[in-house]
Amino acid sequence: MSKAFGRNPVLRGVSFTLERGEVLALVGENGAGKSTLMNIISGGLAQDSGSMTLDGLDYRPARPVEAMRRGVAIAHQETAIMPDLTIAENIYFRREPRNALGLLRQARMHADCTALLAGLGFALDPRALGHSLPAAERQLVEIARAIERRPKLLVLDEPTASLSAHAAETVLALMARLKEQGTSIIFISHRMSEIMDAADRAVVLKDGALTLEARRGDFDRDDLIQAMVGRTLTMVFPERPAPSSKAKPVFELQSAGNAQLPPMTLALRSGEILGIAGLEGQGQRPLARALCGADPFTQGTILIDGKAASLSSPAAAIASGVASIPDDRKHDGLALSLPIRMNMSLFAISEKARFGFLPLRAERSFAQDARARFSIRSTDLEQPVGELSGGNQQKVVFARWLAHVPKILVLYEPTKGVDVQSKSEIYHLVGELAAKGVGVIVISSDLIELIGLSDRILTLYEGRLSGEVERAAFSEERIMALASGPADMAREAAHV
Amino acid sequence: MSLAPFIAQLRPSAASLRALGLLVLLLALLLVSSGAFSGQQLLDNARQAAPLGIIVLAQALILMMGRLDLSVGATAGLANVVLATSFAGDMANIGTALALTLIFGLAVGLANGLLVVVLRIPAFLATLAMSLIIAGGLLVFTGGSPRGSIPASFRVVTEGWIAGVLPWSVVVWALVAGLLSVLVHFTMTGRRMLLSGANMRAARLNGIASDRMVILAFMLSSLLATLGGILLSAITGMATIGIADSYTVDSIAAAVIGGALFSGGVFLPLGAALGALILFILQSLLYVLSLPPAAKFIMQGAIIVVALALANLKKER
Repeated sequence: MSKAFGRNPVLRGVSFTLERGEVLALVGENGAGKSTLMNIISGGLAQDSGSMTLDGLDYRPARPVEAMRRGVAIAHQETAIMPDLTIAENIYFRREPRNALGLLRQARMHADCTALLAGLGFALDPRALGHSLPAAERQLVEIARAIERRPKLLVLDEPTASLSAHAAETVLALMARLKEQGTSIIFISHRMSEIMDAADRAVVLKDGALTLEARRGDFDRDDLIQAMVGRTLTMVFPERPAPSSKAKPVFELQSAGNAQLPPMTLALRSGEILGIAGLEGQGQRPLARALCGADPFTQGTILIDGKAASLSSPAAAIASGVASIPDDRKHDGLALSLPIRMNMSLFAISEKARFGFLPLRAERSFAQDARARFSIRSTDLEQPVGELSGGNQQKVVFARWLAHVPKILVLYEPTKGVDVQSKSEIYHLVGELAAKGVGVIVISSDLIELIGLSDRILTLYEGRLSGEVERAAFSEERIMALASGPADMAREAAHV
Repeated sequence: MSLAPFIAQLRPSAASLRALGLLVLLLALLLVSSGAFSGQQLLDNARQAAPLGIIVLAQALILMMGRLDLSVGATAGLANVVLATSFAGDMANIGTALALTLIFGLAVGLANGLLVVVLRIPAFLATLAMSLIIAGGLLVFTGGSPRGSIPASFRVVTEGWIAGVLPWSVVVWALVAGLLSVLVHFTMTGRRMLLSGANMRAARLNGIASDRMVILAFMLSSLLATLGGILLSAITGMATIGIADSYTVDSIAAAVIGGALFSGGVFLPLGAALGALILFILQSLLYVLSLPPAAKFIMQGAIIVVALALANLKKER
């Protein structure tokens, strides 16, 4: 199977087989092509070349409904739950039980839904409205909706990314039951321990190509990572000495919070890279938005270099020396229709402007240097930034800060949709900035990234810090356990 | 010292070149159908197109901010009435007349900007409401029959030619286009406006005071609409209710023909000027061909479709 978007190939000749009643783990970094592949399988996209067979018959769904009719169901990660419908209405959408006149049988639908959810082991109220559900429950609804169609082939796109350890176990147990009943499952996950437990086979994609296909027992964690990343992790992440424990705190939050974020206390040392881990939707976004001044802290104290500082607006945060790299670069970071030059030069020109006029020569030379330094691949400086690949776009966002080295760098999902080469370049740049004494906060859902880059990791659970791990004690299991937020861990964190 | 960075800022865009091609085509048609057509006549067309041309620049600036100003026609009409009333036909009143007219214009722009930024009303609706308020206000104020007139010595602004070769109004138009070019392409304020127009959220997150840029753009827009209204008054010499109403739609059409995008982030003063000329020449052409006025709307619509289709075809490739 191959597929390209414009001139960017996203799948390059991928082939694999899935047996009946088998769980196949599809593994790869963000942007490796997993979602594209799943979209083709579930009828959302058409491949450029290649073919599929389902139960030995030619399978080429033109639309999602056709895929469903053939017995293929997908539970998306970015859940498509309709906010003003109940859980039951969401699950039975377009398949609602009707009476002879074609009218809806609401009571019957809700009863069916109660039975379905009980059978799946999901503690959800069928009458709850979509918009009232937290991320984890929306994910369970999405999974229930896919299973209700009794598919032959079930695709689960990161079903556990937003789930606590306990809820994730429920879903993994459910997968095991479905498998017994003969359902084949394609399962996308970033959690190595789940993959090792649940997968009968693993297929790894890297930059759109298949780099590993192995049966259970024939692969281990390191094989998967090596196949995903294409090299050993020590080459991807910068080699850094541990920051001095005597280094002064450059940034402190003391009971700082706002309407979306309970008060939080933390300290970041100069030159330290502090990772923030958590299940999806545990306050990462409000924290990132508060740090960059978009939804400011409304209570507590913020100290920068030991002095009270204000992050009351993006402009104030920038003036205080806080640089932010947003997770959604297309909407929050870049003016896509404008040239690379203008997107990179914002701070450079502010500092060099004379009498309010643009320093065009300085702008051009800054942009030329920045493009060379970050090896940004583009036709020239005037190419609209929207035409670049995700990795190059992200480097343009970073390049802006070359002109204005911050005291604190806040990264929110810094390598989402970024290719491996650019990722490594970004990690090394972050390492260089830390070596210069910049304090770095990395908020990420990618545990490999956090473990590879951070000196210390804090976990977020329901908006509060639920745990802390020092570099020497890093392990995926330990961080996941803390991020799942059992009561004792939360109590332990209160002392930190 | 290399001038390349400065020249690069002024390179005409593909959209401007397409508009130029269209204009040449229309001129050729006009030449063929009217038999004779001189450079003098072209300049005379440009002279009369100047009020529209300046209002198109206002619209293009607001389109750069990713918004629309549906009050430019009403604002130009307001300028017409205020100017004629305060002039009252006497050149001695020039100071008060111009000051009052510009103050009214700036007030409209400020109100538009505040409606959009503070009350978060979409610009399309805020300026539509503003145009209705102005139109109604003018009717109340004038009782439907405005008085006053523009003194003949002021009308030289649009009727006069420098040394008999260059109309004054064309000079004013070119000057405004030049100043806006300098603003957008050579000043920090202009760059902040451009970045805000291309992506308001990203601009704000990068510390740009985008709200202020929006207010500034609306004030400039109304100021330019007022200037257009002043030139129009110099042409007609009197106050007329609703004299510039058609300029709102014409300004959007001309700006779009000249390459402006509804998504914002584009400012092409040359394209905007060509767009205005295209609409004006089109009218002349229809007059020469003695087609009914309705044909103007049909042709105008067709030209917008052709201009946008050409632009999109280019993008596909």
